[in-house]
Amino acid sequence: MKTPMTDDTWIEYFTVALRLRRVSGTAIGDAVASVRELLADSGQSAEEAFGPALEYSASLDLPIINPREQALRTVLLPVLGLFTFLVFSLASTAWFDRDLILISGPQMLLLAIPVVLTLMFAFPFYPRAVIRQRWLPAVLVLVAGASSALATLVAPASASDAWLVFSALPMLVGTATVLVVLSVIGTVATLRSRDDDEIVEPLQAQVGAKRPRGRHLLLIAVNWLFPLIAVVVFAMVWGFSLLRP
Amino acid sequence: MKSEHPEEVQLTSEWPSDWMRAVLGMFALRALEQGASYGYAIIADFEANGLGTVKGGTLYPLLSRYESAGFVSVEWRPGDAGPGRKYFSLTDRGRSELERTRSEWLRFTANGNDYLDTARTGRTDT
Repeated sequence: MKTPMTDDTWIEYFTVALRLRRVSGTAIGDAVASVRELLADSGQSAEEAFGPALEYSASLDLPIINPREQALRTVLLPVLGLFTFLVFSLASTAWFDRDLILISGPQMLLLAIPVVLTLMFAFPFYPRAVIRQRWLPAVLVLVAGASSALATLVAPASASDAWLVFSALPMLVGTATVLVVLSVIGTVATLRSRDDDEIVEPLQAQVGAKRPRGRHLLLIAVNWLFPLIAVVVFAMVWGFSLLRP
Repeated sequence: MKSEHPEEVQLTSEWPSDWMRAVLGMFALRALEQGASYGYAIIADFEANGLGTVKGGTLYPLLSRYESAGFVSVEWRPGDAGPGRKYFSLTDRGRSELERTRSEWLRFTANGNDYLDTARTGRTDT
């Protein structure tokens, strides 16, 4: 015999179903509050009043989060930030050692593999496949790790073996600039999105959706993590270079 | 829109779903004609007027589409308990839509009634 679903469980299913449809947090808050309102007024169960949660979520024509903007915020900016930060760290070490940055062709290709594997999360089919195929995340981590390890093995020993030779200072300034630009883009995207992921009570949303100040600052600060860590790394490398005889 | 035959309404508490699907949008706009209202009050209004029982799962998606189309505007008002109530109001566009569909519907039902009465009395125009 089928056990009747409680209203709270129905609302949980409904919320998850709307999340999977990329409905914005404000619209989810509104839809859930409407359900609670009718249940309180009518005394009906959620299943009785609205039918199956999945079907009801599909019948509502609710505003969705722009998938491109979401991909930019959650995948593209962090990955580009990480990549730029790694190059910045290499450039810092090379600058204090008064060395050049040397990269061989095979090394470049191998280093590109983990970057491409991460950037592909911007396409909807890829994260879906990673979630569905349980073996896939392990394979991805192995491939990314192996390609990075191999990249160190094919590092050029001298400038004559290198495909690309960079002076450390322009690379240092360039990557620092890119880190700041990426953080500015991330901050603008965060402010413009008005934190669409957060489920907001409709009455709260109506009066201007004043988020807690601490949370607001935290969301903005996250965009500036890489520049902040870059400053710390730069100071550490400088400190170590001073300690050397 | 009160029924003139309440005893018949009691006998027919549910109407064919095809009929309701066709006219529910117009009825929902009509329910807001006198002023702002909320989900359960609209459903209760339909029932009180012999239009059958409409479920929340049918009414809310319709109102959501009308909100997107600009026929209704919404406002949450605080309630005694819970998340408050979502009030729907007709916009000028919604009022025009109601007038348009109502006049067409009345014309259609008048023709339909004439046609049905003609069949019952055995008169034919052709």
